[in-house]
Amino acid sequence: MNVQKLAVLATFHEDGPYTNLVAFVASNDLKHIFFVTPVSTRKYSYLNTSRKASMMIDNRSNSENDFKDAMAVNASGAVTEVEKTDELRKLYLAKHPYLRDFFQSPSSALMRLEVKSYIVASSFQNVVEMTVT
Amino acid sequence: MRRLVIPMEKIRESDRDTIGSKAFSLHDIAEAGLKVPVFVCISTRAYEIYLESSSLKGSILLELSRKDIKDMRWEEMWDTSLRIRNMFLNTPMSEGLDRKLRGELNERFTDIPVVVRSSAPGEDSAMTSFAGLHESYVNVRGMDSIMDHIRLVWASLWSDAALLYREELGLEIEHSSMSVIVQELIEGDTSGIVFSKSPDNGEQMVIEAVHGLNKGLVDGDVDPDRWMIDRKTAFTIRHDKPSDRERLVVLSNTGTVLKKANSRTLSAVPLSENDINELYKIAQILERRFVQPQDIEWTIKDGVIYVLQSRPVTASEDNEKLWYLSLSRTIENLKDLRKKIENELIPAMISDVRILQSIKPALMDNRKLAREIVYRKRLYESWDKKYKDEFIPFAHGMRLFGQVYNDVIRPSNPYEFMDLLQGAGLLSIKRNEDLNRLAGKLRKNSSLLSKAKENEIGEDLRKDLEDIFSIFGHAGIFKTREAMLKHIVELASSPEKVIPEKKDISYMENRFISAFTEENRSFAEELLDIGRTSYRLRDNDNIYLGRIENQFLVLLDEAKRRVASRVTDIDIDDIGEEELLKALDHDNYIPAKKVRAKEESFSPMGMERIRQIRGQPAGKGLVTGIARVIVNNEDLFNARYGEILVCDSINPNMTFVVPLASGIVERRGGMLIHGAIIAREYGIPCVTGIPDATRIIKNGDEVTVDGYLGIVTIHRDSGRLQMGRFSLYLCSSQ
Repeated sequence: MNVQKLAVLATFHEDGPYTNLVAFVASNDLKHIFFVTPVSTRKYSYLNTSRKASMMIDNRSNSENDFKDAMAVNASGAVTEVEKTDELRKLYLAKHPYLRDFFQSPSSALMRLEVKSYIVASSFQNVVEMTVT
Repeated sequence: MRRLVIPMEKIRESDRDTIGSKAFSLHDIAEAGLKVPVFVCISTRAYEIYLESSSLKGSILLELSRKDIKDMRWEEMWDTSLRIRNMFLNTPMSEGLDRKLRGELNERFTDIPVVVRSSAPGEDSAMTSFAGLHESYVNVRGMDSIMDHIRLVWASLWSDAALLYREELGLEIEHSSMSVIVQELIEGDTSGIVFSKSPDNGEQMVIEAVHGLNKGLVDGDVDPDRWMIDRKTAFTIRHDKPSDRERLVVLSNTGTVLKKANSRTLSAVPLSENDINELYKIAQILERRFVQPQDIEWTIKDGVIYVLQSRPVTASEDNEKLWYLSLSRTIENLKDLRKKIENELIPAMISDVRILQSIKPALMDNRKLAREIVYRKRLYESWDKKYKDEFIPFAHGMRLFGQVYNDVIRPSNPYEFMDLLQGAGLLSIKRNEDLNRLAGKLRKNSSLLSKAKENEIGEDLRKDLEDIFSIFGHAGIFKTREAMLKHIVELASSPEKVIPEKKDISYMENRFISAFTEENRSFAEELLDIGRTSYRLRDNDNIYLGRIENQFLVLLDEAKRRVASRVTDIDIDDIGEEELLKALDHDNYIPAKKVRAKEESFSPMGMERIRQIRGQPAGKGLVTGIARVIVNNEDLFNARYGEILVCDSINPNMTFVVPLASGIVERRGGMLIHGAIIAREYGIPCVTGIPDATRIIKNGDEVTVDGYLGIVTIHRDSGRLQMGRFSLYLCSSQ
């Protein structure tokens, strides 16, 4: 979760699911995952209609080794837009320092996924589910 | 492990790739027994550590991902380069790297002035030799300043000129690197260059020399003495003296300064016969050593000739690239250019317009009208050429000011300097204010407005309209008073667009001037003045040029009017200029319809639809509105209040429409282009550099312009988006 820079975000709207890549950072206790989006995007619009979302973070290398070595984490929960506080700015920019202008732009929104559960898949078909309390 | 700092005496063949071509060539010159200034190389490893230990790599990649460089115009390359340069300026070296470099440099250059020069691997090699793509700094004093200038040289790996030659250089973030030479400064009495083989005559060698430092010659501020030498016999074939030797470049406290020469220098030829012979021998030695003709820089101090650099003679055949490189001007050059523009060119343009206006087309017979059309077209073309040769280079004044401002202030926003240039008295803004004042009269009086809609106006308003039309009506777009009135009515039917009050810039101005030493403050003031003049003239010269073009267009309209009765089944506007001239010359000639080039169909990959495009953020703010696509001048008169203007390239003659717009999207890219300048004056969100903007976006599309991030979103068929706290049609700027 600390090493991977991009995650797949799945949002939900009346016509079905919708996925995107987002640059994310997780809080130390893994209860929250943060990402930033311009406000004129579909994902921002969909999240305003339905807060339900899930994210997939994985370490695949796009080779045969992935069937043995790749691990994918699915985090699901509800997304809220949050204020860009100093604390969150530091957290986000520590991982993505080159996204400073993107983060600080008045036309982008900082979103927080409050994780209800994690599903971890490894070694092709081993799956473990963890509930966040 | 590659070494970070390599002194000149420890350079080995295996160091070639890590110290760059220029440094290795200096090593070679010293090996040949010639005198070079003492130097050390900061190897490419230091650059790599700097990049790896900061967030710069990601930031540069993000910047370069904005648009493929091959699709960028030169303004966009300059912008990209400016932003990257500012990243380097605001990213300090890691403590470890800083300590190591200082430690090594302190041993040699504690108290002496130095030159900090670029030495990129591959640059100046046999295959690729391009002068002036990367930066060098003369007379850098003190360790802190040396360390700062090392970063500036690193940044110049991504200079606009380097971006222009990216293919030849193989410029890529993963493989490109930069070495830096820190070199003892030789304060030469006489300096110059040698082409061991003249690019114009293979039998001859060229030597150019000036009093003082080489910078004056290289920058084009000082005319050199020039000798043409027979390569075989060393015989001087010709000595061309400059028109004067009035100026020379010497050292100032920091950097260099162009000053007036004393009377002794004025008359003295900079080189003796013996000097010429010695330079001839040096050129022969270096040509043999490097096995091809050399372009050599040298300086003479106390009778000793120092070779400053030697690289292969090359001649670029790409005129467009050469033209772009020629735009980079020194302040002295800009000062001369300004005098010429303000004292000669603009008065001449005004005078030409006056003369043309005094000639009444209605009084000309058809043949005279035809000749006058040809004359005016040539006149316009000659002014258009002067615009390219003289006015566009003067726009470099804004850029030079911006670069110096960023160097001394180091703002987080690389375009902060624009705040000091805005409000410089643009003619286009004055025109818009005049139009708005007239619209205000109609806005206050609904009965006047209703009448004006029917093209009925009273004597008072007619006089006001005439006043504005006499000044601005001849600038290309407003061909008739009716067209101007139509626009004023549209303005009056909409809420007034007020130019936001400018923030107090006196603090910024003081901060900029105070950042210079007492000795250099007049330079700072001059530079700010040049920046402001350049900003103002960049806009105003288009208005003047537009007036000349209009004088040509007015005659074309008169020709159409006269010929219209001869054609029945075609629109008179579909008849080209050549056919109109034939019709004027021959009373019975029936002009043919102009064959229009078939418009290339634009269908990116079948059903593919572009929804979101990234360009350059050129005016802060976020707005969603309906697109008004401007394809020709007539479209400007169809624009309605609150629409987003989508255009290929906007010029100051078109910007009367901006007070109606809530946002601007432009195909042409850049922060200093007309669309961006006027958008910022009005505080309107603006995104530039959107490829094919007028073809991708259709009239009536709902479009969001994100002027903070440079993103344009087309909400075609996707339903209205829920933008949460950002309501639609929101226009938040600044």
